[in-house]
Amino acid sequence: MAASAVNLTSPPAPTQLGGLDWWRLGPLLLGVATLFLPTYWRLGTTLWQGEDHIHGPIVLAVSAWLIWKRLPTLVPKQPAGVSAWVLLLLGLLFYIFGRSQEILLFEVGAQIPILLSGFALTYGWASVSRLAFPIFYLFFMVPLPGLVVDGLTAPLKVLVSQIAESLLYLAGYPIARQGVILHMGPYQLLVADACSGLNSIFSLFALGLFYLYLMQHKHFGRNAVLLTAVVPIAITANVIRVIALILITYYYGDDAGQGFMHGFAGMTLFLAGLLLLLGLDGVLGFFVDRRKVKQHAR
Amino acid sequence: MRDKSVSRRGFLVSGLMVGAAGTTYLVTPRASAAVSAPNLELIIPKSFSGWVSVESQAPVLPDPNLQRTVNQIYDETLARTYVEPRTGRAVMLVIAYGAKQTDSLQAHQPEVCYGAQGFVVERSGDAAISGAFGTLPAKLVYAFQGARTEPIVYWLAVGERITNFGLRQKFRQLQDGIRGKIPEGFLVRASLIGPDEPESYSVLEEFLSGLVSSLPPSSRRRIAGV
Repeated sequence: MAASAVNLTSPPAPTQLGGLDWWRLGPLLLGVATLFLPTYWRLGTTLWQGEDHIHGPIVLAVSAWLIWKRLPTLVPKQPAGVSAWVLLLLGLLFYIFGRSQEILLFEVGAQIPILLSGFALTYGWASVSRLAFPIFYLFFMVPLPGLVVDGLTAPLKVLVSQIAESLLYLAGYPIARQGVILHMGPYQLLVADACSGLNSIFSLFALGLFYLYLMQHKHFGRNAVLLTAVVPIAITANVIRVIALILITYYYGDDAGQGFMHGFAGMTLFLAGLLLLLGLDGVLGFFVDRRKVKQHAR
Repeated sequence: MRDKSVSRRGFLVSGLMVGAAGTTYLVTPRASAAVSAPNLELIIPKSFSGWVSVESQAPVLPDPNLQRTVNQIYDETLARTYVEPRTGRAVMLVIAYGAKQTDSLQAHQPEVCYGAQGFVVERSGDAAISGAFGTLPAKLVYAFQGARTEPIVYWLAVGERITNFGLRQKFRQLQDGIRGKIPEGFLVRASLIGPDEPESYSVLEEFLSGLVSSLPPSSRRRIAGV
C-alpha cells in the first residue's frame, strides 16, 4: 500500500488526524452522511429484511471499507471544474426525486454520481481514480428495477422447478410438477419467487467481483470463466435448496419444512455458493499455473 | 492550495448536499389527512341484481410472504363469493383498498398475484363494464392451475379515476407525487371457475356492472370513478 501523502517539507496542518485532512474531508463526509444515512436506514428497515437481499449491507460495508482504507492516500490535485459541479447537481436531483417519490433505484443509485463528484471537487479527478472501484461497486447495492425482476424471475423459477423435479424423479421419488408447483406424495410445494435464484445470482456476482478485485488475476480467461460460473452456481444452490425443502417436508412434515425454509437455508446455501466459487478459482489457478510452468520450461 | 478556497469549496459542496436532503423532506408527498377508510364490509352490498353472497369457495389472495418486503401494510381487503340462485353460477369478488395506493396494491394485480401462487397466467386483455353510469375500461385475465381454470375481470381506480396498471398508471402516480398527493386506490377483481370463453367474461362484466350500479354515489365515485 502506498504511504500516506504527508508533506514532509512543512509541519502538518493542525487538522490532520490519523493521516486524514479533516478540514477537507469533514464537510464532505457530513454532507454524504446527511443524504445517505436515512437511505441506509430505509433499506435496513424494509428491503434488507428479506433474505434475498443479503448482499445489500455486504456491498455497502465492502465499499465503505475500501474507501476508508484509501482516504489517507488521497493527494489533493488540480480541483475539478464545471463537469464535477454538473455531475453533483444531477446526482442530487436524482436523489431528491428518488427519495421523495420512493423510487429506490434513483435514491440508492444517486450515491455514485454524488460520491464521484464530491471527491472530485475535494481532491480532483485524478485522485478519484483511486476510489473508482469502491464507488462503482455500490451499483450492486441498487435494487433491480421491477421490470427486470418480473421478466427474469418467472423463467428462472420454472428452470429451478424443472431441474429439481428431474433429479428427484431420477432418484425414484413420487414427484410430479405443474408449472412451479411440485407434488410429492401428499405434499404440495410452490417454488416461490424467493427460490428463483435471481437475487442469489446478483449477490454472488457482486461478491465474486470483489473477490477477483482482491486477487488481481492477470489471466483474463480465468476472471471471465469465474464470473460466468456465477449463474450456474447460483441456480444449483437454489435447486439444492428446493430439493432439501421437499425432502424435509416429505419425511418430516410441513412444519419441519417451513422451519427449514425460514431458518438458515438462504444464508447457508449462499455461503455454499461462495465456497464453490472460491473452489473453482482454486482449480482454475492450478491449470493456469501449470501452463505458466510449461511456458517457462520451454 | 490556499486553505480559504479549499474550505469555501468544501462547505459549498457540503451545503448543497445538506440542502438537497432538506429539499427532499419538504417535497416528499404525504397521505391526504382527509381520507377515511371506506369500511368495505359495510359499503359493498351483500346482495344485488340477483346475486347473493355466501361463505364458500376461497378467492385467491396474495401470499403473506409477498407483503414482507413491502413498506406499507395493506389497508383493507374484502373477499366474498356471490351466487346467482336463478342459474347457480358463482362469482368470487375481491376488493383491495390502499389509503396510500403506491406499490402495496401492486401485489393484488392479478397477473402478479396469481402468477406468484403458481397459476399459469395465459391471457391478458381489455374488458368493458357498461351500465347506467357509463362504461368502465377494465382488464381481463385468464389464469389456470390444474383443474382450476379462472377467467378474471378487474380494474384499478386511483384518486377516483380508473387507471389500471401499466406505464400510464406509473406516470400518473409520478404526477400526483410531484404535486404532493398520494391518492387512495381500489383494486376490484371478479373471477369465476369456468372455461376461457366469451360467456364467462360476460357473466363477470354483468356482475361488476350490477355491483357498481348498486353502490351509493359517493362510494361509486371512489371505487369505480363514476
